[in-house]
Amino acid sequence: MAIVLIAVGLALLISAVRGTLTSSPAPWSPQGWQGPGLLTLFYDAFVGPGNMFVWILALGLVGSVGYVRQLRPVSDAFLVLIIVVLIISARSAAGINFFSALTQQVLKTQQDQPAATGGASAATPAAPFQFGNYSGTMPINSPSLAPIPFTPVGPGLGGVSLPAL
Amino acid sequence: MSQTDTILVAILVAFIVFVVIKGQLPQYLGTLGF
Repeated sequence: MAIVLIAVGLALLISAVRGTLTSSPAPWSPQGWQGPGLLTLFYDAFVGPGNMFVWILALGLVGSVGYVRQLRPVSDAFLVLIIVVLIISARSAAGINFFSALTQQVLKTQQDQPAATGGASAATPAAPFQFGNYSGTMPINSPSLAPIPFTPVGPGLGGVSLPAL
Repeated sequence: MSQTDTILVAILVAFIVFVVIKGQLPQYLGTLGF
């Protein structure tokens, strides 16, 4: 009865159908880029400082003890202990505990969700690029085709210098 | 419930706690249409 695997598969399927795997809402939506997608969020959870890989490792190690039938109650008890310690000890960046953070986020409506993604979401993200001897910034998933600033970075003709006549 | 399911449920609970602590629960729900 792999409920967890079915739930994860359903979440990935729903996100794929909605087009929110890499950005939320979908990249082709008129709102443009507002927040990270599901896979981006997964990536942030498992990579980088303060990730949860060590907790998964601890749960896997303690849980694997339970495959010995006589030791299963001990394994279950320590699994519960790890979860309780995680809930009690975890503090958000603002210093609030798990239950306060859960209350705040569950009561958050969908209308103010873009504000929760941070102040950077208000501005259209831009990626630097260089093409030939031109460089500039290119808007990512911008809803409008705004003028793209170009600035030459070198001599003309792609950096090829012509001999003086 | 097999031991594999127990471990997976424990990891799922830890993941939810982790997401809530990081303040990313609205973003996760947003990607799923909530």
